[in-house]
Amino acid sequence: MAEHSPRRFTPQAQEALASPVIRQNFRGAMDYLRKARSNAFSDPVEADAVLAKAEAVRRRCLSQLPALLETLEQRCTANGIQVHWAETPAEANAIIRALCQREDAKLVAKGKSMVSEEIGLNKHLAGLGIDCRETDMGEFIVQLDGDRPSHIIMPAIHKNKDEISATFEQHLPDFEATRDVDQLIAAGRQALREKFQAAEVGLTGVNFAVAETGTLCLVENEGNGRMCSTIPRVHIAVTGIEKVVEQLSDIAPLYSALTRSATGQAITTYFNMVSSPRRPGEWDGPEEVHLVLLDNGRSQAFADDELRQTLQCIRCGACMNHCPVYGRIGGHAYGTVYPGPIGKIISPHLLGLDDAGELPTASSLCGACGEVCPVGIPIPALLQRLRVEAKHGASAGHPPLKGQGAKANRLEALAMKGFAWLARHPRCYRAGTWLARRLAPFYPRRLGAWGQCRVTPKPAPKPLSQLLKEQRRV
Amino acid sequence: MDVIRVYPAKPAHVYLYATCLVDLFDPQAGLDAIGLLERQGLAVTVVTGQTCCGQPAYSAGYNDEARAVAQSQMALFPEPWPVVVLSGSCGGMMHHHYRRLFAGDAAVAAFCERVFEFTEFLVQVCRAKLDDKGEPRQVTMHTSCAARREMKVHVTASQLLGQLAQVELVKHGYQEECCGFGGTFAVRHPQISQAMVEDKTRHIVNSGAPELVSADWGCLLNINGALEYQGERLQGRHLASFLLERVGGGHG
Amino acid sequence: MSEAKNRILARLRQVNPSAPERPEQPYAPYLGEDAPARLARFCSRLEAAHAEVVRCPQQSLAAQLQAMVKGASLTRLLAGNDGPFSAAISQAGGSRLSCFDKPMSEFKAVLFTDVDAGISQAWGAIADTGTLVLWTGPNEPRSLSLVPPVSIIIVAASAIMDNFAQLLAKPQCRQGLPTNLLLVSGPSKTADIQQTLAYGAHGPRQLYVVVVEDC
Repeated sequence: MAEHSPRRFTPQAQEALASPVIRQNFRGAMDYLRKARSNAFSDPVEADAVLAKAEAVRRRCLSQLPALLETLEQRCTANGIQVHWAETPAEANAIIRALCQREDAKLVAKGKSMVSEEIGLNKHLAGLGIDCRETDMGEFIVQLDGDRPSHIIMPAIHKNKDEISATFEQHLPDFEATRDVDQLIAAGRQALREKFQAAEVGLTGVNFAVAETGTLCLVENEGNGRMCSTIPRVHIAVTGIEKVVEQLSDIAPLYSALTRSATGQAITTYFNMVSSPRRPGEWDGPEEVHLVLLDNGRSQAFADDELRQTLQCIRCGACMNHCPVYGRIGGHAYGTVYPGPIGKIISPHLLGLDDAGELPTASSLCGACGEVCPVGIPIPALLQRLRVEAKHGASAGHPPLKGQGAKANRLEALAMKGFAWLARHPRCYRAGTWLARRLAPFYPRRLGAWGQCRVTPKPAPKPLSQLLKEQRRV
Repeated sequence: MDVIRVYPAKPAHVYLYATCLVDLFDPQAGLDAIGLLERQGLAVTVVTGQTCCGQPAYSAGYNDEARAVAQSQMALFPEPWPVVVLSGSCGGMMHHHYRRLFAGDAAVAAFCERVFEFTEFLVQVCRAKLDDKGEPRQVTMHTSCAARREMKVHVTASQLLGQLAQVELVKHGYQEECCGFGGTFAVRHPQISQAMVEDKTRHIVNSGAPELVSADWGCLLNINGALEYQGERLQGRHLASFLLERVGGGHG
Repeated sequence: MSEAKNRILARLRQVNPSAPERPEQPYAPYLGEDAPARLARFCSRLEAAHAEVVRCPQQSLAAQLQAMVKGASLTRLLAGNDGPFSAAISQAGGSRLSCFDKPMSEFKAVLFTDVDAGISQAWGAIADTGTLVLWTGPNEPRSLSLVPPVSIIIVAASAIMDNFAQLLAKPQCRQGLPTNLLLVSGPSKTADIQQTLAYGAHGPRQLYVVVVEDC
């Protein structure tokens, strides 16, 4: 499978658009998820209240971020959880590698973690002979295929059951092709239960890290996250620094907003709150728990009042479920770990505007993402902001972003200057439109990229001012 | 943006901001909008110097240029009258985004407060009551996304259509989804835009309604261009023209 | 790695974000009118999540469990050391029942392959979402409700709270959470294959809940 890259966004998007299967798989999934979310928020008064609270909690916690991170570390340490800090993916990988090697681990059982995708952990460990096995059903399927997740909540959303059956036939011994989802899941369960027993290390993400009590919260339906944080001797949790919340009471509204936005569930099957490694007298649970806190561009977003809102994200995926662009090109086309609208505003901080600067342009700014975001991230406004930063140097009082101004385009800048000049000089503007009207009979029916599916628009013979003069003698 | 807007009493005089697209492609819609406003007993002034609200520069990431254009446009409306904008997305630009471009500028904020989208103005300020004089007719409507999410035009436009006794507003599939225009987006990402407009036109045609209206010429440019390309006879019209025709003031 | 910590914190501290201006509204989730309403909501939510819920008085708990074990043909049961319902569990389980009283590493394979059902005793429950609260520890191992294909959880009706926020506000939570506090709201499930719901993804395929009404 070819490596996707945000630099190749346009050809990747074209490839996806050309595939009727991808279009169909995504349309079906989007319809399902939108309906589920809308049912879960059927009472608008109640919905407004819980979402306003969730947004307020995220804002408050971010406003105290450095202090909360220190409290989190103190409480975790007091509870026996070892805390590690990583500025970059390489540092995070080095920390996790060292822990695995100290355990002499051959197999890591991994629960769903977008941060582990962000740092490329599987590949890193594979290079050292350590098998890092995805255990979330969707992630498991995607990994068997040597593929990547295309959605942050439903990683195998781009595949239908026939394709998954074919994948299992290829990779699982004694598997017989089936279209029965229960049988497919049973086959995955069987394969993975062996992994849970054998793994020396379990690795998971974190949905909320509570500073007040030093507690790591994991949200899931399958139980694989519980397996990874219960069965192996060592549990490593890896998360971005923005996931910390101030107090226990903060997680109730966030959890409700998260599950309802993501899949329309009032609650997930499991909410797993880990506060320490196994204590004396206990018979199960990991003997060591480690927390790896990753920055990777987050402190850059944090430095700017507007862009900081990016960090409010609780990774529910509602923005992608409602995005007309994502729904048509799918998750892979973006070439980034986080696809869709939220990916377009996160990736520039993670990768820099030189790599990811094209992504913020891939939006019609329709605003559907901002409308459904449970924590009030103004995604369209941030897309627009990143368009500015991609094309210009940093303005006074703002530290430059990574790749600041990388998409500056002299021709476009000149055209925009010309447009602005014309718009400020009505006589010349009218002369221009007069010319456009005169030339209208000579326009080709199909003009440029626009003309691939639309005819060229034809100006009316007379402008409004002239019609007014003629018809109303103004 | 989630603050509930407080509407003023009906004034005696308004400015009409026709927008560059209406001026260039459908000036009749401008005349029809004036006709409707005059039927509400208002004096309407069209300032001839108006060009464009600056949205193309703004959405492409050229804020300095957008600011320059915005300033030139705001200067055209010295009287304290409401500025009625004949497009939801331009209305959103002038009501919401000018404020962002000139953060903290009280004069700009005061101007933004004077800006109303056309249907919003008819419903919320004029409290217009339309008397339908036409034959029974089915119509489907597309609301531009900026108009829908920034200006809630789908609510006010539907209210106006709802007042027409003989008009049935037909829903089409995925009505709230974007048509794929998005200004520079359609040019920069033509294939994605194409996928979007092809879905949109299919849903519109499948609705079976013989008539399509919209209060936004940006979307109509896109949707009509695609419909014509596909050989469909259906062409969208500006809502103002449709409404005026229904109340018996049409130009025939 | 403290260098990374210092650099990250230094960068974050350079910024002085203002606290949000608007005061936070209180969060007001579901409140039950009375105990019967709470119980009814708890049961209906759990059933909607594909759990099988039965209610019984304390004196018939053992018989109820016995019937459940027989009905589902469960031959090897596992339970924790001690809890308010342990006597009834022992009585019902008889020779089929073992006690989780040694480190998991010593019988991991048995736990994964031989045990039919784990029997847990919930510390509390949440009516709003149909949720069982497991306060795990030496007497209540966490894998009981995770590894065996069937999970049986017993809960006292009086332990049902209205909502999650009430649980988090309990002094026991704020002052000393267990190693692993668990909320369970149904059998393990997934919709990862073409949005089709399937049960028993990794954890129990079936969840039986017994609500003891008079305690």
